[in-house]
Amino acid sequence: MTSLLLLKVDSVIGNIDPRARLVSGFLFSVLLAVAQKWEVIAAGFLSAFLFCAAARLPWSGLRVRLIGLNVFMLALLLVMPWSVPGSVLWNIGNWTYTIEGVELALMVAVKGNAIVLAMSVFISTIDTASLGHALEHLRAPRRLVHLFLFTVRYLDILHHESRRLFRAARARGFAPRTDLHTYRTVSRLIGTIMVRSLDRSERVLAAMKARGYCGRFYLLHHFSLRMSDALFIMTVSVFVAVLAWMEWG
Amino acid sequence: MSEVLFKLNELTVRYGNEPPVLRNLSMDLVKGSRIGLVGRNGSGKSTLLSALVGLMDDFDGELWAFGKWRRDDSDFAEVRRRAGLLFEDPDDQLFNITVSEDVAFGPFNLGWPRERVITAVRDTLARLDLSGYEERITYRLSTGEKRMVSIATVLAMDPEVLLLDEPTAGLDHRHTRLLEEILKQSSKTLLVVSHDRDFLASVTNQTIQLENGQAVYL
Repeated sequence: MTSLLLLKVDSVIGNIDPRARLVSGFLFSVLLAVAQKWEVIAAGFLSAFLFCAAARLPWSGLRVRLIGLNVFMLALLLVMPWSVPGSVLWNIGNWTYTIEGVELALMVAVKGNAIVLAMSVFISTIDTASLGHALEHLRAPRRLVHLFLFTVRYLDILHHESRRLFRAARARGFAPRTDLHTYRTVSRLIGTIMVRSLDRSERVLAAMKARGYCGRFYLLHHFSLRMSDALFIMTVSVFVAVLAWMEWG
Repeated sequence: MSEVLFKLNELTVRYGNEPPVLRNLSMDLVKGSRIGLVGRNGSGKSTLLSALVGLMDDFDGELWAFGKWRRDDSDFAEVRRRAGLLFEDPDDQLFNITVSEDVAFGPFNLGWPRERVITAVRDTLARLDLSGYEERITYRLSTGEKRMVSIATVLAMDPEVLLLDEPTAGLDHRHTRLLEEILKQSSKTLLVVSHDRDFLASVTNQTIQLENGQAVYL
């Protein structure tokens, strides 16, 4: 379940302070998102790719993300050029498919891929607990951080709960088919999961109160910056600075 | 005469429109007493434990705890700091990602300084044979391991009263004995719900049976 969010790596990137990685991923993404020049976008894509290679990210994990993204980008390429004015490539009546539109769609696609690569290498390599803590240390809104951490925590439980319920149904001879009985059963199982989740959230709140919770979370671990983190920050800063200079300098 | 920590006066608790689970229940919990709470399924044992720390929003009657009559949620904040409640389902109790974070949650809420929290986490885990579990992910533990960690989250706060709901459920023989030893050695006031008669006989010296929402001393 969590493997969708987390990329397991076994390289230096895993030891870099999560805060530094979070900020790097953020800066890189923002820069690429606002960049307008092709050479900046291409250089950004290339450097994101280099970072991925240097961190030895597992190709299988990256592939899933990139395929998902590029299916969407393909749809964009089919649709977007019809709405951008410019020199006509094809037309159907009054509708025109333009070269400028294709260029814009391609630009969005390369940007998107570069950002996904950058997020994969900088942020997906942080385990969820550290990500939450890094966000909190960086003064992200506390409510959002806790929402995030609880979501991660209870996604797994809900997943298990649904599996348990479906297993219990199967144990009594339930086999999904396309009939009314199946729909009725599945809707009841889903309803049960929702009711149980609500109940559970109330019990968890009770358990938190029972241990003296009054609206504040405390962090057990503190991060500390080391030499390797400083080097990492400098490297990323140089890349970001060069890209920014190419764009606006 | 020993100090009365909890005093229930005609306590009635119901869930929604259902018939009450506890009906005009009156009882005292005296400091230092060690009580086993028994009763059939659905007789209100868990409800009673929750009610004692003010987790049943709706109750009729009066509840005295640690020197005061308590009514609102805010009245109970102090009670919850001084009485540790172990939930029946460890999945309800553990909500942090790692074991050490979960054990540290209560002590932080007590306002202890960081060093003291860290020491309490380490010592409690060691006492419960959980050293090395610090960075384990709570939801990936087995049922018995989750139970032990839940117990650690309560003991780490060093409460004056322990309200334990089925503390031995899912524990293997060795850990049941370990828990038995820890409870026997502590001088804390105990109210324990359990279906394990040997365990109750070993850690408590009085038994209360809940029957039709009332307390019967055995």
